[in-house]
Amino acid sequence: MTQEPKTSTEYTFVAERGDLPLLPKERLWGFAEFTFANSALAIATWAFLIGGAVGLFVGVKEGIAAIIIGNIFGVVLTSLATAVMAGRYGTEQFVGLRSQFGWNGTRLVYVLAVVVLTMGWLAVLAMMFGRSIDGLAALSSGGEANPIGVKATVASIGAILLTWFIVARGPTSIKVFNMIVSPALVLLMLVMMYLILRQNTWADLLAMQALDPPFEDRQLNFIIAIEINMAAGFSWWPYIGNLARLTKSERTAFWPNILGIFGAAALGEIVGLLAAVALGNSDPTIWMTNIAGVSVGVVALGFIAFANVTSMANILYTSVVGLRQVGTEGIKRIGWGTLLLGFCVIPLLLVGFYPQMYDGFFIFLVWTSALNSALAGIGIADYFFLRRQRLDLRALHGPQQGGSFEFIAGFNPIGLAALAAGFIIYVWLFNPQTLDNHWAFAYLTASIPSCLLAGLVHLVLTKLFARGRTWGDYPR
Amino acid sequence: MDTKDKEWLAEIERRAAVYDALGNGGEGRLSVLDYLGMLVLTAVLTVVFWTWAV
Repeated sequence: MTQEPKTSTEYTFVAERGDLPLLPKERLWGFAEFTFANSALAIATWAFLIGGAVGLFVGVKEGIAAIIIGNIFGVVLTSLATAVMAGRYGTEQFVGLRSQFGWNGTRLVYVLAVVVLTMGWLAVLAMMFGRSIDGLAALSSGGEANPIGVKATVASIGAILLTWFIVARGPTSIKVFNMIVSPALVLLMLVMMYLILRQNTWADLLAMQALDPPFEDRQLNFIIAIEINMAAGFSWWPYIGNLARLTKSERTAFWPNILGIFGAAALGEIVGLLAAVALGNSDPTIWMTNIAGVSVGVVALGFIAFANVTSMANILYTSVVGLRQVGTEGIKRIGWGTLLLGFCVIPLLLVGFYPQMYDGFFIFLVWTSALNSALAGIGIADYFFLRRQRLDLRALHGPQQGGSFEFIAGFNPIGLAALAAGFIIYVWLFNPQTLDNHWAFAYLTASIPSCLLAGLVHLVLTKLFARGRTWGDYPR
Repeated sequence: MDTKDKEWLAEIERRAAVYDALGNGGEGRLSVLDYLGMLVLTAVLTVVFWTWAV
């Protein structure tokens, strides 16, 4: 059990940190504030990377459609699974998850879904920082850029260490960066759009073809592009529940995700797609120098490097705060700075020894969807269909041992089996590593079947086998 | 159970009771229209952009 303050202000602080459910009067955000907050989260440099990756598979017209279709499915399903529950009860996302996986199962899910995702993104964004710095140096000196050279690697390592330093100083320093970067990224996108449209007509852009389509079958390439964007939409699963709990109502917790996350991410990805296809390279650190010329290119690359550190600081902070929530007593005893540094070790190794990850980053992104889509399906089945939108806050926040979410030693085997089923069907339909696919993938995608199957397995097995108070205490 | 634990459980109880009192009511709950809106929005965007692109 957590430490116990005495005044209501102290309890509010503890609730904000996630140990207690936030009461409606303690919530901060209305519709406009939440829309702005999650737009700021979605407008990040990874949008350029994802848009560029889409351009490898399909041309501009199909790419725009894939961005819209993939993201709307991913964001709607993820918001239903996480934001609605958090908006109604104000409960921290991973505390709420105890009702689906048990209090120990939640720790396992956290490691699989959040730690792995965050470490991967930290490495990719650090490499983007390194390439920006390398490109910037080449532009300034008139030399050749070398994206996997020593200069870029050292800069990438520096980016991770700088992020560690910023986050170790606390959330205030991150907030300062956010207030500068989000509006500036919108401005940068508008400038990029202007420069692209100055060189090409809209009709020319729409007629442009894919950079490197892997298959002759255009529909298959289109579905892979949709799958990449679904993965991008589902990749918000670890983050949006804990933002939505700060909103004043259930409706406010849901709809701003469509305006903010879907709208902003789609806009950024479309700019990335247009630039990549028009300029013949999916890497933003290269097309920015091609499109903008030396002077604007230097500014743009410098800013991209800066913006990457901000995105890295945001995800590192969120993940390590969550890690302390779900972690064991041993993890909670580790100092903040040491824990952050420990979290950065694997990204540092990836940057140093696996720089090829950057060019195939979408492979890593799509792997994460094999888990996130299944998690969304389980969340929807559990909250809407099994619990009929009723959560037992006393059981979620009270002592866990012997409580409603004990299951077997704190693990819900049904939830975990459903997660495994979703993951397996995903990989059976579509292997992100090799792009090998079952014929059904071209009609169904992989994320949607994974989401549906995981939800169905959780629903049916829970109805059949989950009996008794310590097995989730499901209503009958 | 010591005094601190009792105080902590009482705070959980107090907060849970607030939500119990709200029940299925409360301001800003998602209605059938909201869920229908999500379905229609997703379907319309999918059909329109799929038809446009393919």
